[in-house]
Amino acid sequence: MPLVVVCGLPSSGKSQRTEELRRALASEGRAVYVVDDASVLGAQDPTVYSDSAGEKALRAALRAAVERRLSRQDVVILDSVNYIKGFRYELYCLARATRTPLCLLYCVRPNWPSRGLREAWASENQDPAVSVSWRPRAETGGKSQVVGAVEEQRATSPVANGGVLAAVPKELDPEEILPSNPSAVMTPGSEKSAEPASCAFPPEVLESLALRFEAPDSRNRWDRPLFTVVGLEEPLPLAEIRSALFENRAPPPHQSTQSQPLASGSFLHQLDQATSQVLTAVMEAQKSAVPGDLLKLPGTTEPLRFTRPLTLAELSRLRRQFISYTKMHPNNENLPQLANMFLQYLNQSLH
Amino acid sequence: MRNLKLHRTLEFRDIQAPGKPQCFCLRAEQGTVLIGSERGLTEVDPVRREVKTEISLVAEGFLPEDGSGCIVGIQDLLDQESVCVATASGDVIVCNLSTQQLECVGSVASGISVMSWSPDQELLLLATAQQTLIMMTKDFEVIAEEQIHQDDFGEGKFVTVGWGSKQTQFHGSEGRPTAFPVQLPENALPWDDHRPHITWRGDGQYFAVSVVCRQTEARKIRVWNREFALQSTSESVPGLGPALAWKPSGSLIASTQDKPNQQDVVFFEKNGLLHGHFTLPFLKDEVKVNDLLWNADSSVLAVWLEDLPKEDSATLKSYVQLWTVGNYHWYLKQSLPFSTTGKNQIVSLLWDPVTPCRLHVLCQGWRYLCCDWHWTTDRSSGNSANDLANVAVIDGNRVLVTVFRQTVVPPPMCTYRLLIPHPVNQVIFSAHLGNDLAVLDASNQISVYKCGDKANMDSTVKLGAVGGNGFKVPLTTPHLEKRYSIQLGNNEEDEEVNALQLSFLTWVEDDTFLAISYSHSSSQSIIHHLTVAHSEVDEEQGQLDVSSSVTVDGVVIGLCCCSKTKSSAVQLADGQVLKYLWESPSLAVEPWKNSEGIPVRFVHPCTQMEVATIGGEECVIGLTDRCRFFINDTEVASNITSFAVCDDFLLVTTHSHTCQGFSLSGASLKMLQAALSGSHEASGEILRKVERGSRIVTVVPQDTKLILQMPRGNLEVVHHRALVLAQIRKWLDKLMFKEAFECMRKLRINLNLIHDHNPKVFLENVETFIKQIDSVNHINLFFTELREEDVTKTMYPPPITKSVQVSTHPDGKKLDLICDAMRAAMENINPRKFCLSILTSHVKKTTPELEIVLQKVQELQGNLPFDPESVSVEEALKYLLLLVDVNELFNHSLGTYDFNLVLMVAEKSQKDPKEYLPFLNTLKKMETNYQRFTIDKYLKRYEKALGHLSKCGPEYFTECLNLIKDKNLYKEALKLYRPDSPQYQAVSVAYGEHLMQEHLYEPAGLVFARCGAQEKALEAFLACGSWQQALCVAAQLQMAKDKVAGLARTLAGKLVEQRKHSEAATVLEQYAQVSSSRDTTSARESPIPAVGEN
Repeated sequence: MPLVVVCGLPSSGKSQRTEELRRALASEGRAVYVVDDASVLGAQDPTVYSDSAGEKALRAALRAAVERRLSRQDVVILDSVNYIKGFRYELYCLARATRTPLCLLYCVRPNWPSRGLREAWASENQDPAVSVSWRPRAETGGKSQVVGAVEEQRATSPVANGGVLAAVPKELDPEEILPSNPSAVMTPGSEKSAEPASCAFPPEVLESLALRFEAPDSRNRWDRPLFTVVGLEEPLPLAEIRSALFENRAPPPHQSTQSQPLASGSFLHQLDQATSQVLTAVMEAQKSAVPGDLLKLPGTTEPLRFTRPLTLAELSRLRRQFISYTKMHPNNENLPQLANMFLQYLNQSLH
Repeated sequence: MRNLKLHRTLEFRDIQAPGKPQCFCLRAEQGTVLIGSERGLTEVDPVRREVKTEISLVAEGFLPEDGSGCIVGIQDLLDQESVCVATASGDVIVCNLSTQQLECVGSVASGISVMSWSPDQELLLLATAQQTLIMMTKDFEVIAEEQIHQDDFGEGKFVTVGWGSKQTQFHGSEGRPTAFPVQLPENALPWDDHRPHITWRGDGQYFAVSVVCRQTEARKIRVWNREFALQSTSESVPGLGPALAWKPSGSLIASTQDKPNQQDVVFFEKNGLLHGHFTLPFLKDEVKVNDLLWNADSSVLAVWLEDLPKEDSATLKSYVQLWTVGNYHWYLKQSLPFSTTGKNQIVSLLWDPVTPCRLHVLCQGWRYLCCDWHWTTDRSSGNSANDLANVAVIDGNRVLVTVFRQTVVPPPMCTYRLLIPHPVNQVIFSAHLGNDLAVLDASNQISVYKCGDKANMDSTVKLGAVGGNGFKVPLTTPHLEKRYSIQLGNNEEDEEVNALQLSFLTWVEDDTFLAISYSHSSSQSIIHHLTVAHSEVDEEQGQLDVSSSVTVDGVVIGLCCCSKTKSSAVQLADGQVLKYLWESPSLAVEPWKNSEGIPVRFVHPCTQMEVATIGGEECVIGLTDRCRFFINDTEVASNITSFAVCDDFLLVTTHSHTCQGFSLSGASLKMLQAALSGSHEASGEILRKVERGSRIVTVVPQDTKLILQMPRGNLEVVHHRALVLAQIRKWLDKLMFKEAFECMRKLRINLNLIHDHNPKVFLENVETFIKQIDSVNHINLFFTELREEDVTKTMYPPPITKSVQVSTHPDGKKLDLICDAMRAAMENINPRKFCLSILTSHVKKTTPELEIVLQKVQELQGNLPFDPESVSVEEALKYLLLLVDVNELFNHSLGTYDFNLVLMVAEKSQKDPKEYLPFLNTLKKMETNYQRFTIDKYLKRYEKALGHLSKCGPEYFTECLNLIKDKNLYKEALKLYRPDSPQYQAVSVAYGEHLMQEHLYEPAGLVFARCGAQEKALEAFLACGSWQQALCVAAQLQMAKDKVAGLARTLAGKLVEQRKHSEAATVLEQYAQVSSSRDTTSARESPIPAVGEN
């Protein structure tokens, strides 16, 4: 039933954790589906991340796959980078629409101790990180200086980038750390080769991904509950995940996730009838009316103040406008009121 | 009584587009125009003067390349961003204007001659070249196809009820020949285009098709309903033209008919029968009618005419005429000449579907014109007292002028009419001299008419409803001063549409006109000063030259002049108001600022605008076509149908069918706003109910007349309370009592106002008042209406609370004061003439002085009968009986003891002579005093009666005493007799006894004592316990000692009862000879408590 969204940079142990989780849940006799890039794309093609259009298609495919599988019984694990806040929100809405809970598993690259620590620290001490936004920046700045002193040239560009994005300190964090040691990413990553996927990512893609990465924040309702696992050694907080998935109440659907109530089949017909009746009545009544009269129309309680001769062309235009507006909000409760609503609309727009 | 006035013209010349324009349609929501040519479609934005989109139909093969293609119809589809186009070759194409995609939704192999959409765009009608009609839904699904020619009459076939054939019926004064109508050839006219014409009724329920039958060659109109069932076929009308237009309001179908000597626009009913017509001002075979078009609100019928080619005439012209109807008369209001060749040849005309008086014209040379008219009443400015309140109505080449100050005649009648050689387009009254007018005609000539003292009538001025044979004309009619042609300095090409070039012609000064023209290329307008060009030779025709012009940034949609301040207000299309000082040499145009210095801008552009002074501040007043009423930039009300400013009055009519009049001199904007927003405080003076749909035509200045026009066209004159009262106040302030009185009497204003308006002044000028009115009847009327209440506080509160005048007689003495003052004045002037009024003044006093009145009537008897001024007794009595109740008067007359008078009054009364004559006869027989006594007794005037009776002598004393006793008149009686007379004693005794009965013993005792009835006095004193008096009386009676002692004891007993122990003791000690030591039981007890009490 519930949805587990795994999130993290390439080669941060996502697939491994997914497998671990799948096994753990499957052993309990639950049906678990895993949706990952490979299952959607077929052949693994990391170049997709260098191309925004392709990536968009990938995201759509992932979302579709999740939507297909998602139900209130089966667990779906989405194993992908999922680095875009908006995409995670879409998934959250999806889960909400199917009325299942959702949790987020954030995998952090273990072999960057500074970052792992910082993330752990950040996730533990949410509030100071929130209230004092400049602090993490100063800390990371100091750290990046320590770590990133390896190469002068590479260190300059992130500073420039950071200057551009200085307004968003949260997004600044990974970006300042990552580019400072891309070589470190490459070499230990390939040496360890824990995941076959990571090696396929060219360094530019990795770098840009790291730049674009929008780290989950448990303060956002779509990133909640957030489980951060650092490295591969740390055991999965299985108990908490389980409770989050199976014991939490699903968020209630709201307007953006609720499907439109089906209008009665005759709504449009009645709308058409009611408005055309009002029009005919207006045309008939104004034959004997003098400006200033109040026209009594059948099916309406209010009168229409007649101020000037009205042509059918003008009235039909207003009627069409009214119909196209009312069609958007079909509501069977309005059915007996349609004529009155149309009259009010006429009264407003004719003066 | 309204004319169409050109409001603005929008012109887009030389549109850059291929081909030749063939037809066009409007896109109302976008405000653009779609023009179809043999190459394709062009969408044009006339405001920005740019070509928006160009769609070639040639490229897609819908139109042939050689330019022989023809678009028969374009229709903008609502809400779809697309248009529907039909080509003559039979294709119906839907063209999306945003994507420029073309889609052929279907085609008719034989070709299409007409495409016509229903007004609600639900149905589409195609007339094919195969003489069929195809009806489709808006989604191009065919509903049915029918033959265009039908043999059947239709569903509405007339029912014969068996009254025999037409020939056998009676035909009235027309006579028998009409039963056998001459069969005229019904063939279609030679210039007929033989194409079908389709027109829809405004509500889309019916449509009419006019076609030429192939066999009979006659044009027929057939009416079909929405369900595509034939309803009726028109009666046979010889010479029926092809033009066809169904009035949107649904009543009539207009077409044309060529008659033996004239050309008519005829109207058909839905059942195909003729109903009314009007004649076009052209000769037979002079013109052909290309098209008839009704505007959106069915008020204007546009007729597009074209000269038929003749051998001798070189230049052919075409005309667009705008006709309106009022009071069953068709008026030609505007006439716009165009040429039939070259660039200015009309291709097509169209009324705007939303804005009622907006006409779109497309000319051959890719020239597009859009003209706005609005309804206006051309009335004289009304800022002087000798303004005759003229209203001019345009009727073709005549101007009908009605002089409302003197005559109120309903249109189409008029006081006089001016005959102009060309159709008139505008009439202007002089801003400074109200009665002079100038007429602008279609040939751009201005004819100036002036009201001078020329004795002979001008040949171009004809008297209308008044005058005629043998009547004297007390009216000064204007005479033609001169005709001027306008030289704008334009090239020849412009000349033809010159009629549309000058708008808002305004006559500001004797030889200066203002006019506005619009730039063709940008949204700028030019204000021209036109002045008379002075030439040495006195020519028949003068010339107006542009002396100077000012360019204004923006489209001018309003110009109005104020002759007092020599400034004019100019309104731009965005509502902004500018002030233009035409007299100043700098010719500056500056924003019009309100009192706070903020530039004025109407939220909505106003179609009517006036400048008025409100509360000392010059304001612009505007009324939009949607009934919103603005003063400066404040929206004062939103339900105003018409307004007029006159003197310092603003009069408006509202949607709730009321007419409200406000005095502007002391008003403020807020007051007006509050009064118009419908708060119920509006007093009766301001508000007045009027007939449904009334509109103000004009207000007669310095008068109380307000002329209203009803929707049908008839007139009504009302005297609005606000105007009436203001005028009366003005008169009263000027001591013009006569005018005020006449007006008040006619309009039933309470006459108390004459006094209450300013009591002090009135009382000082009573003599003037009487001398001015100089009519006994009117003065009597004034008297009889007098009431104690102050009408300026109750009925007619002054509009502005002035410094409160403390009335000189606040405690209800108004009547007496006025009566006395008036009487004095009248007696001073001519007491004999104003006799009746003098009598009235007596009667009207708070306590009517009827005796005086009767005395005066009596005095009249001595008057000489042949004096014409004097009043006979008869008359006076007759008049008095109107004022006073007859019984009261009879009694009062009886009171005068004059039997002649009594008889006279009695004769006038309803009393029975059998009753009063015997009564009077018995009275007459009596001795004078007794007679008077009887009368007084009858009138219950007992005191007087007693007086008379006492004089009658001692033999009547018993009767007298009875009367005294009955009516308790002792005191009065005592005065009548000498104290030493026996009657006096008798009366006193009776009085004393009466007092005794009343238990007033002491006064009774005194009365007795005075008249010498000592015993009775003693008794009385004894009863009241006044021991001194009693003992005194006893002494006078010289009673024995023991008797006195007995009396004293009785007295003492009484005093003890009254707890007057000390008095009792005194009485006992001094009169009863009882010593204190040998006290009696009664006395022994008494002193002790008495002391204790004291």
